[in-house]
Amino acid sequence: MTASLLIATGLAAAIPFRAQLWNVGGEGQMWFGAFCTIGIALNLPKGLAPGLSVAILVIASMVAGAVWGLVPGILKATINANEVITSLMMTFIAIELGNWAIDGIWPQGASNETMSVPANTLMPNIWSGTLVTWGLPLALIAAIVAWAVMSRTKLGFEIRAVGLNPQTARMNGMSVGKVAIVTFALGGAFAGLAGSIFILGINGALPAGFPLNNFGYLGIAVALVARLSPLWIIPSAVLFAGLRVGSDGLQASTGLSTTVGQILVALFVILLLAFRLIRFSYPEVASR
Amino acid sequence: MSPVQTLFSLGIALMVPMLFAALGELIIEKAGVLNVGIEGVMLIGAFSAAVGVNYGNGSIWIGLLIAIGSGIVCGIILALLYVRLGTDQIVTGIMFNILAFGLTTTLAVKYVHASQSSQFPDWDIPGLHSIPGIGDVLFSQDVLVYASIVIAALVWYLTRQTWFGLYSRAVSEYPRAAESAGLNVWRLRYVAVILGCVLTAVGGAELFANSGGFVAGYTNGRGFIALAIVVLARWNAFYVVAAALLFGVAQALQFEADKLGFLGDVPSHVLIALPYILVLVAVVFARGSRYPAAVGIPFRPTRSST
Repeated sequence: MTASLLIATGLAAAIPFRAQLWNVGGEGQMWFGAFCTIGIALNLPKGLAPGLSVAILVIASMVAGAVWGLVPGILKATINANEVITSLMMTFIAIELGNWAIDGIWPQGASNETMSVPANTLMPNIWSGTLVTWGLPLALIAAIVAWAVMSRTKLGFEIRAVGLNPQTARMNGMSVGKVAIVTFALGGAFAGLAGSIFILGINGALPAGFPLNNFGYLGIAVALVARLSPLWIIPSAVLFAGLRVGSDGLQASTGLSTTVGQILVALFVILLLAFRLIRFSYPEVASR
Repeated sequence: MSPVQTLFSLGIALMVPMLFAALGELIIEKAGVLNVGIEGVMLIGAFSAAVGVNYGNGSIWIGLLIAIGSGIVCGIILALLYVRLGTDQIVTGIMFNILAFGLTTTLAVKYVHASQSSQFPDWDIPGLHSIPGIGDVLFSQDVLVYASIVIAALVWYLTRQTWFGLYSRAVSEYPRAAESAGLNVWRLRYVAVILGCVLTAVGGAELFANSGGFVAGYTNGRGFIALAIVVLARWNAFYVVAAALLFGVAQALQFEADKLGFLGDVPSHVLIALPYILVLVAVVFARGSRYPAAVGIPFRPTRSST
């Protein structure tokens, strides 16, 4: 199930990255998605059919993530604000909102979590006896949809064109601003999906601190190792999920902290970058 | 002191870590490199200071020394990646932040005692300290506060008045031309990245000294705020001080709001998020601010460079 989160956050990074737009706020878009999922789930009518309520919540969470992603996207498109700074700030705001939900808006009492969502909003298990819920096929579908958009539609072509050379793309009548807004909204929607999968398919409530932390950032690593290709994100996410679960197991057997997994992931990606296995193209700086 | 005086006094103390980090980032960006790993460098600086204090019998000066050392190490690693190997600066920086978070959190369990803290000594400037109203606020701070202002002036001088500043401006705007004129682009960027990382790590040390001890992930976006401060200040070291003070006071609000009365009803989470919201507002106000043209773009020399 960790893999399904990483697929979604990987897509959140990969699509804007393809246009050379650095959405490093997947973490915040995921938190805001989770925040809205909780808020809406607790207020849905009780009698709703389980399938319908899950569908409503997943869509709502994706919209929420998209809204959160739109802020840096629109700021980039209109005033050319540095999207790295704005998307990171949106992340810290979203995490603070999450903390507020945990100890102020919907607190559970003794344990450091929000209230659990009602049973009829939880994603059912696919195979009984395992932890695998419908979140996993949802993430896989998301990857396929992202692939179709990126390689089979005009929009995907524009995104890739802007990524290769914004000037040329602009001269060919494409709107770079529009691509910024659309890619950030799409990326945010996928990050929001990760938020709803975490709440509805894994944990049932929003916990304080580490369980949700850094999945958004790790998604960047997932996307990079997949060379920003939506379908390659699936094996890449499985690899990183293995590392993460493995480091949890390591913790149990050796007493090392779970953060060891993050060290391994970061070192791995930095080495790939250093050996030029992950590369980006840059325009030559021209004189003005 | 009245609540407003306390607010500003605290704001000045909280300004210092971000000020050091922003000054370091300014030097780096003025040489054409964007160091998104600033948050990680700051965190490693804070951690190193904590380790130094822990093994140096509680002396903050040993902590500061170790933090400077860690800044040099971070600087060398990042300079090799950003400059020599020409990796993407944004992606590398983000990965460096994850690495720094993982490393410090893992190692802190073993090498840092959460309760151990140490502060830089306060210094009341004779005479000025007794000015009514502002004396207590401005001239009764710890020594690193004064040092940060002095260093801001030095950074201004370095980037505006020296050959280093002139050359690095060339390297950050049009490196190919700088190379044609005989400059070694890489060597200049190495120096800038290492120098900037040292200042950032010192900011981390002050962050540790301000708080009651080392906490995992304690920087909490201060490094990223420093990135925004540099943009807002338009790469001018004196404006950096003003912008850092603004964010310092914004951070101080969450501790002092209840005493200020009119802010007492605002939920604490809104006040904690206030600096981040303020960054977004600031970015809108700084919309004419333009990065040096070559920032973020790796440079490949046309001839082999040593």
